[in-house]
Amino acid sequence: MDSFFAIERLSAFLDEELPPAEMTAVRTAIAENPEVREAYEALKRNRQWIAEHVDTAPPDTLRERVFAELSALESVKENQESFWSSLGISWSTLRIGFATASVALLAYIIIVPDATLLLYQAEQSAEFARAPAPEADAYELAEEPQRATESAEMAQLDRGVAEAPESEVLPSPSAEIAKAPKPGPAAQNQQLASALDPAPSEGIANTLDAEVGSGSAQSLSGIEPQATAARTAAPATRGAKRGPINGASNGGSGSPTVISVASDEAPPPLPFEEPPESKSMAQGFAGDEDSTGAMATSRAAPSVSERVSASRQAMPILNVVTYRVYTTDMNAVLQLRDTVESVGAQLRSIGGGSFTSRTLSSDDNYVRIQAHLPTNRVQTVLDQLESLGATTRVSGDYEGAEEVQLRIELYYQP
Amino acid sequence: MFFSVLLAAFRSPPDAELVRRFKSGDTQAFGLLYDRYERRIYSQCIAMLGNAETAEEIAQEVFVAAYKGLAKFRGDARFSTWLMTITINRCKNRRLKAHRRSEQRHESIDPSPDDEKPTFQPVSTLDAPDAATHRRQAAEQVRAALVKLSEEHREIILLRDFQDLDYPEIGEILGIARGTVKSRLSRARAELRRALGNQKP
Repeated sequence: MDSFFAIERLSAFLDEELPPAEMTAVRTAIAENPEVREAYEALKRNRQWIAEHVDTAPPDTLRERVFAELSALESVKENQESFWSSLGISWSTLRIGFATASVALLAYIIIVPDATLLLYQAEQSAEFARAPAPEADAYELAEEPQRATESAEMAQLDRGVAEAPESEVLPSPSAEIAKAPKPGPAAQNQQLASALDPAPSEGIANTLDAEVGSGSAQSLSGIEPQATAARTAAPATRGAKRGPINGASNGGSGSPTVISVASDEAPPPLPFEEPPESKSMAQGFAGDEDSTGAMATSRAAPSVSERVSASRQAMPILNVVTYRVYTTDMNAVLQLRDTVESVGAQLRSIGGGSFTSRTLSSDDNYVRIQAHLPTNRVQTVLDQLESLGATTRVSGDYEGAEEVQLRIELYYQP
Repeated sequence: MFFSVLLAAFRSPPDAELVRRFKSGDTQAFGLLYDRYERRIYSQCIAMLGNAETAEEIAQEVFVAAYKGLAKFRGDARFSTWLMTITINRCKNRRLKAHRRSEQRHESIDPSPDDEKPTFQPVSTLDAPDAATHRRQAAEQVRAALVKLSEEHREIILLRDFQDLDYPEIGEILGIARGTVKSRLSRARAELRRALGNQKP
């Protein structure tokens, strides 16, 4: 055996941990090779030294210290046991009880993963149940002020419809408008809500104009200061709109309708000046797809009072109309974009309207143009759209609106 | 030493019997076990840690831990193996703590490398007779050589050459395979040979 391999195996040889064949080979190497023999002797000597010289007598204090600590440990244990045994519970039983409870809790948490969540929800439910009503309202107002305001106004309107003593139930709006009593605040709110409906059709409005006449119009316009003030104070027009619709739903076309007319001493009609709150409110409507849908629903069956009030409202009505165009002409797309932009610039120059657009990127085949336009300019844009390609109106309607939030989605398909 | 151990083995009951008695409530049985292993445990600690004071502290911890845990001792391994496992783990933990403290001190600009490696503290030999002095000096040389080894090599040499445990027991204590015990022990002995050089304790 090579001396290197023999020396490598000397340690195991010393412990007699080699197979018999290797033991023999190493033994031969030790006998024949001085280098291996010297290494072997060194290993034996070191092993002897370790066995002899590592052994150290412990200090006398060690035993005392160990058993003092063990005695202390025992006394603590006895105290614990005596405490629980004084309560009639053995220490071992208590430990088993703790262990069982821990295992049960763990099993519950594992088996029901949402246990903690369920517990939390139950606690929350209990808190809500315990909470007094005013606090709950305050919470709701803090979380969703608009919805809370709507609910409050809805309730007020419902009460106004049901309880307004001065209101008079008329078979039709044209019958006794002039004789109508002074409306209560609830009825006024109801009428305001009707007035804020943004989508009466133009034809209907004209019909109503002819039907009501100028005298009635004059008296109706007396509502406006209060209406404007109420609009400014109460932004929740969507909720307010639902009042008259609910009230009218009982009768249908020939059903009784609540009509409230202003007092005899009506203030002169105010020139149109859209309050900032109203404008932002209208824009908020325009930007909300759901609200657009709600408006469409409310337009399905407008009551007569709503039509009258809406036709007399000086507030501009903003509709959201979305068109989708598929075109193969990129230049036309850009041209349209420029056209809309120029219209927007003109609007900006006179202090009304706005224009936003998303430009094309190199890997994008989509342009979205959004413009805030007067209604009479929409058709110009639409004509240009139709010259581009297949144009589809996706949602909304600009007829009857005074201003339009026009959204154009242009898809370029080369 | 061999004869004293042999006599003690004949006179006193085996470990398993003492463990059984302790489990059945005879706390005196633990005293017998303590007497049987006190010297081996303390020597192992002092050789591992190189400090008499720390070794005493760790030996105390080992016996207290054994006392607390003996009720749960199932007897799958020998009591000596189990006790040695506790000892090795305690020594390792202490070394680790000392190392961490040392690192923290270095970070706080207070270098004190005392705990970084086990240091050998020679016992005073002023009043000792010549034979005893020689013996202590030899022991100091061996321990000084041991502390030069890596912890891994030091512990395996001590388990084999001082505790006289066989390879399977060493593997069980250190959590390594028998082949690993063989190769690691071979390297450790070679390192010790280099550390001792031509010294003759």
